[in-house]
Amino acid sequence: MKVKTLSRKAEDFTREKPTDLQPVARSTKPSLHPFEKAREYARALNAVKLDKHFSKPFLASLEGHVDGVCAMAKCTATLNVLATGGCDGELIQWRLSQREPSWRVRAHRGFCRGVAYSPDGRALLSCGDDKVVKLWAPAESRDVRTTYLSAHTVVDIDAHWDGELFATAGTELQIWDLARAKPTHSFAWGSGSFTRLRFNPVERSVVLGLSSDRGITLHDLRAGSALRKITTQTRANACAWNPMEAFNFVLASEDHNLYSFDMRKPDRALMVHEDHVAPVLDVDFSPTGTEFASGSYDRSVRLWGSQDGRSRQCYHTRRMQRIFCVRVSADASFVLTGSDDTNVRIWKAKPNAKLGALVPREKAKLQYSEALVERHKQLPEVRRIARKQHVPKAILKAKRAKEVMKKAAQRKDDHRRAHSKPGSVVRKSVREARIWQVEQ
Amino acid sequence: MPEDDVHGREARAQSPKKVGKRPKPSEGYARGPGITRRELKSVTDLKLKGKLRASERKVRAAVEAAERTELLLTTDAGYLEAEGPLERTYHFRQDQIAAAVDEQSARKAFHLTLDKLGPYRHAYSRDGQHVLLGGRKGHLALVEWQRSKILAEVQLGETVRDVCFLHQHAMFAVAQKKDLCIYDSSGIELHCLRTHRPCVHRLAFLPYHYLLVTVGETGHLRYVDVSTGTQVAEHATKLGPCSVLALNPANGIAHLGHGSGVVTLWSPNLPTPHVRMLCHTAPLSGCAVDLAGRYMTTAGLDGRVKVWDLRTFKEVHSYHSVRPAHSLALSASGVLAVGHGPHVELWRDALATKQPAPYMSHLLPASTVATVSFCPHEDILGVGHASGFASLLVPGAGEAAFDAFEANPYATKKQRREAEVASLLDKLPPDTIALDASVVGTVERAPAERQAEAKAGKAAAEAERLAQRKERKKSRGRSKSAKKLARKSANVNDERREKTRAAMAKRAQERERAKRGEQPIDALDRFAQPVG
Repeated sequence: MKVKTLSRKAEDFTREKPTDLQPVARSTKPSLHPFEKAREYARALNAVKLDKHFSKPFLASLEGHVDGVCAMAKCTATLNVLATGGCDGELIQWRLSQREPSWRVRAHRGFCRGVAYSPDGRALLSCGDDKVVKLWAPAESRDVRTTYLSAHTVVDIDAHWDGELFATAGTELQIWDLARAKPTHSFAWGSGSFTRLRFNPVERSVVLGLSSDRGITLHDLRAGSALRKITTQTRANACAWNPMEAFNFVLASEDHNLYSFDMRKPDRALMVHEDHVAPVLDVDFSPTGTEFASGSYDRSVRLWGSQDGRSRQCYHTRRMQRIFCVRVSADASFVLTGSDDTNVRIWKAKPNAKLGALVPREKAKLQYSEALVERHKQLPEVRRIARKQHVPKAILKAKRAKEVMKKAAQRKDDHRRAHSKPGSVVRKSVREARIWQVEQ
Repeated sequence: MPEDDVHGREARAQSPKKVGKRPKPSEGYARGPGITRRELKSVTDLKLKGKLRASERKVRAAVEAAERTELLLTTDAGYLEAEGPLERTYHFRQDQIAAAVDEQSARKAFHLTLDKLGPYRHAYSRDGQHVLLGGRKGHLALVEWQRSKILAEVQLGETVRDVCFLHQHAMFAVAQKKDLCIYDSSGIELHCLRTHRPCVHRLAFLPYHYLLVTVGETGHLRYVDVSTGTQVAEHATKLGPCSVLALNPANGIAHLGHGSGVVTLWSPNLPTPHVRMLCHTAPLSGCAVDLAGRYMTTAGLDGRVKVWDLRTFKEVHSYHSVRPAHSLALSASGVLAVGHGPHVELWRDALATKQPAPYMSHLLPASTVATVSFCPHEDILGVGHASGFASLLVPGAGEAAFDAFEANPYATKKQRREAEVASLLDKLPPDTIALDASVVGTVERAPAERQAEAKAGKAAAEAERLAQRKERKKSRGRSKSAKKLARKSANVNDERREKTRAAMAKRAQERERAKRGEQPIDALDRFAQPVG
């Protein structure tokens, strides 16, 4: 007789010391794991529910301004620092970790329209309604370092990524050298004055300017000339370059939408981002280039995937008023907003993210549930929960009204086409319809 | 070092490198055939194609990795083999086997003489550490059998018809004289379910759904969700009293054996049986389904033990038992235990192929077997009978590997608590019980004709609606019939209508060509070979 029975040693399956982790015996045999698909689906459903359950994006409100916050600049050199300009001309530098102002100064008479940090984070530029551009060094003193006098009101400012130049938007788009009192270049195209400008972070001599005649103009500092001008149906309020795909930029438009553009193919938007129900006032890209945040006159902040037509998140609070400026922090994990109610708010970029260090097992668990949701995201129940956004009633109502209007316009268009000679009424894609003309 | 070299070279010599050839993943771990190359080729969307290819690669890697983890399993399965031409495995007695195996295993074979309150029914907990004994005359004992420790012992003083553990040994259900009661591990009655009267004959538990399945005197099959206490379903079998109940571990379907020789397959989602099989010409007395849910074995009072294929619902083969078998059990490795009269017979590899002789057998003198069931994770068969309970060694019956996340025999108290919470979070809704367990995760698609039917119905309804629509009464002569007609036949260029018209014209052209058939369509067609 040859015989052997199953006989396990308990010490192979239990821990030796109380400080050890409990060993876990695994077997991947499918017959030992019945209902594996159904159980995985149940887990995915739980994971997506818990995601929503732990969505608490609001972190803090920074109080210090006595008037609305209308300009904001993040410092790419230091995570902890943020500068904001108020409607009363006050300029504040914040220490975000302490949630308090670290430096404040009455910078301008009238609005402080624009703020920008130099790439090394040491110098701070501000401009205002008083036609003055001021250079500050908040780390060193409260006094202004240099003053640049402009011939006209300056409404926006941006520092060049090399650190020697900056640009201002006003009646003309002007390029300044930090060492000179007068602008070195100035650009204009048509009659509109410039309202906003941004330097391209990669192709550093390219500047994008928005003008009041609904124009979006691309300029090249090397050639000293404008490259092309896109004119849209409605004015754009703000723009942001994608930092990773720096030929793409996104426009925050007065018609409640955001438009992604490729600067090489300006006659068609890459994507129309629709969700806001009031003019979008500011937009900023996450440094990853895959997401951006926008703030609107409808009192909400929305986070978008750079290729998504609909927003991923909608942030709002009862006390938050019209949002004038939005920035995504340089580590891509926070969103900062400045609004009419004089407060600067800090939000999490991922609403259910847990702040602080995670235990490895906790991290693994979060990754597992993220993967589960990703895998089952097409299933109706999971998708429904994942896409659910809670929005204020006013926004919801406005959204419904917009839907009705959109449908009516669509119907009208259909009727027009049906009652016209075939081919005489051409349907235009929504990505093209809002572009008025493109000039070279 | 030189030894290593030799081994290394040998290993290389044994496995010559085959460039571009991948070992095919074994059937055991693969979850279906996957996407074939041809199917992948027919996908025109490049992005989708890339995604499919990547996911296919991932699935293949996962299957291979799962297969490779077999190397890490340290426990070997048991066996019993005869040596020499005259030895037969079914001649070995329990005391001989116990003497031949290691001491730890030998201690697992024992006999409890309880001749006053029997016959005994019993159940093992999912981790195999606890056994619950229920004597017909009201004796209830919860035993941690490997340590010979009695956790609870109760004298109910009324009939006990069946016992069953719930998700863990901390709770168990007992079918008593009239009612169904739930006890905790210290023997305290937690609930008494009075809706199961007049009496419950058989109990079973679905651990992933938290459903307690009961069937009794009236032939009603009931599903009780033990986590919420609600009754999920109640089906009238209309086939009289039922005392044969087995669950399919792979898909959760309940198999009921009836007095007419019929076996019916039930789920909580359907008020009628999914399947109705005439298995025996005499009343059913036992039923068991294997771990993979592929084979069912049934026993009837006609003295046959039959093996059925659950994919085709056809008989594979049948065995003869001297006396009608009253209890059947299938182990994780597929060993079939048959209890008839005082005998327990064990059959190995007896499902797919017909065996000429049993693997083992055991006699309980002057007693009658009431229940047989295999202990999970062990080479042990528990036998409840008229005068007690026997624990028998059956080498090769248990699955050597276990997964601690499913049921862990070595779980600490804390782990058990955590597992309870985790399993409650993963609790499945009753509608995941279906004949085809793999239906979750597939696309539910109606057959083409039914889709076409629905489409046609919708179109007809729309046409009806348009026909029924009343035109608004308009003033200044605009509702006159001539005007109406003119309005209807106005030159409206409907894009869809245009498209339909074009498609119809094309189809007519094709039909025309098909009708012409043999006639050459163009000059070169005359060289074509006729098909067929």
